[in-house]
Amino acid sequence: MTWNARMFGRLIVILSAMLFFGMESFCVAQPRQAPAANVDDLLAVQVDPFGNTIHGKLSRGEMEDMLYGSLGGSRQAFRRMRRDTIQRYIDRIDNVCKLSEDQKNKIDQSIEIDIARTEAKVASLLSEIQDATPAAKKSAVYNEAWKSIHTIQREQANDASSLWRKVLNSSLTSEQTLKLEDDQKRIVAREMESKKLRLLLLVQRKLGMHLAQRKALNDFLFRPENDSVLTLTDIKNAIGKLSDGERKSLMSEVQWSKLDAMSERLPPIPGDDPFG
Amino acid sequence: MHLFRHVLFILALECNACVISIAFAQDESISAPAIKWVQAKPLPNPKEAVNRQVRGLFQNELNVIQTVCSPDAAQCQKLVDTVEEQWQLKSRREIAKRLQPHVYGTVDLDGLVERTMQTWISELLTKEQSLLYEEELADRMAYRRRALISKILVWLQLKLQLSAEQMDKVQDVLETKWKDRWFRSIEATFDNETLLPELNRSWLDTILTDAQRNALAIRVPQSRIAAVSQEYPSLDKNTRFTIGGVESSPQIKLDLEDDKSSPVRER
Repeated sequence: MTWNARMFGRLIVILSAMLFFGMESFCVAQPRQAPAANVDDLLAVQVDPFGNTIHGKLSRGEMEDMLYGSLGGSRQAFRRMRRDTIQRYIDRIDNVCKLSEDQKNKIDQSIEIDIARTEAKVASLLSEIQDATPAAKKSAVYNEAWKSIHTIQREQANDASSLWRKVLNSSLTSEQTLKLEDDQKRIVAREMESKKLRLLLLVQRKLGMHLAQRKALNDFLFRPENDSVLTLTDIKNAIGKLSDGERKSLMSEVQWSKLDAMSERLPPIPGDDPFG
Repeated sequence: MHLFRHVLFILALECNACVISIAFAQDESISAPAIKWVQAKPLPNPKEAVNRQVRGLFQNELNVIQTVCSPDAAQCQKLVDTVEEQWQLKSRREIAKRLQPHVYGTVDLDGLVERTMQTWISELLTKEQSLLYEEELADRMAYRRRALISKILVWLQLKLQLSAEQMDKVQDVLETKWKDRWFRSIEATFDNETLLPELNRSWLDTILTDAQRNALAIRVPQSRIAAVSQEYPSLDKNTRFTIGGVESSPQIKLDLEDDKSSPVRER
């Protein structure tokens, strides 16, 4: 065998070995690419994953435009949306308590201050950005600003630290506060009713209940002592505590064993769609 | 000979790599014990799952009819045979047809089963029995209507910050404008706001404030819910329909996938 042929043979062997190792590492790497997904991670606020490639090239002004752009179209649109969100809460309170003009003016001014504070917060975050700031730092600042503004939007008007809420709480009379509490109770009662009706429909469909059984179950669910019965587990526990006679007035033995075997429905994970 | 030596060399290298990778894998498992490898569950075949659910709904209807209409043995046999036979000939394909452009929650499986059953009841049972069944369906719809209106009110409250008084007024409007087709399924109406009925804004104009009206125009898209709900009853394709202890005739073939031979009943 000539020297060239030997070299050629070695080359072939080395190349095949490289190919072999490459395939092995690919095969071994496959299962590691998909670690078990954490539900919290899936449901967390998605911060822009393209920050490293896009935002690193933008100036501070462009970044600010982009930030407000994704939060409503423009800075003005963001202001309007934020104002509307708070205004809806004020409208409800006015509807229930009949706020005086003086109270309305005070709250109105505090809303303006709150919105200005949010904008100042964003400006302060973005002020860290200079022309020479590295791209990675720029995208980190942008993501932080986006997250902060998005959290404020998500909380809507429930943020107890907001100025307008503090002004509102301090300016309401005791009579107005009582009216507001009463209104809140009625709203909570409606929420409870809705949850109970959902439960009723769920159980009646699963067990195939007829008219008389449905009415009996409805009466049972809306008894004052069953106020907290809102989920499948609650209803199973509540019916489980009844005597045999009482339970049979609600459902047959076969239906009870079906109900007992039912499991609580878990909320779906976004994207987990067998039809997809 | 040279080639053989090279092959031996590669095998030795390979063994070495395997040992190293095993060692690393062990090290990894020690250093990261929190990571749990979970075997992914195979996804259910959606077509089969929906078929089982619809069969479950038919079986539930048969149970309800047994209690509400009290059919005699002959009527039971006729009814259960019709359901079994029609499942092969029509219902199964009807479901498949509707599921083709399927967005989960938009197909009213309950309504489909109820309307089909209503037709068969009117043909096979007496007029009195048929009226009793219609009364049952009307009562069911009354509960659905109450539940959906209640859900819409809660949704609007969260979205628009309605006061309790405004909720009362909106409820009156929804009661007046109600359409039975608004209710599609528990999942569609309770789990996904995009599947709630579209409300005509002019209905609520006098009740809502400006800020509330603006907010009503904005719909927040939500993720689609899982296609195979656990809330449906279920009946396997190999289990026969029954009513009052009467099973469908053994001459009727059970559901066989892709069995499209037209004479279902064996003669």
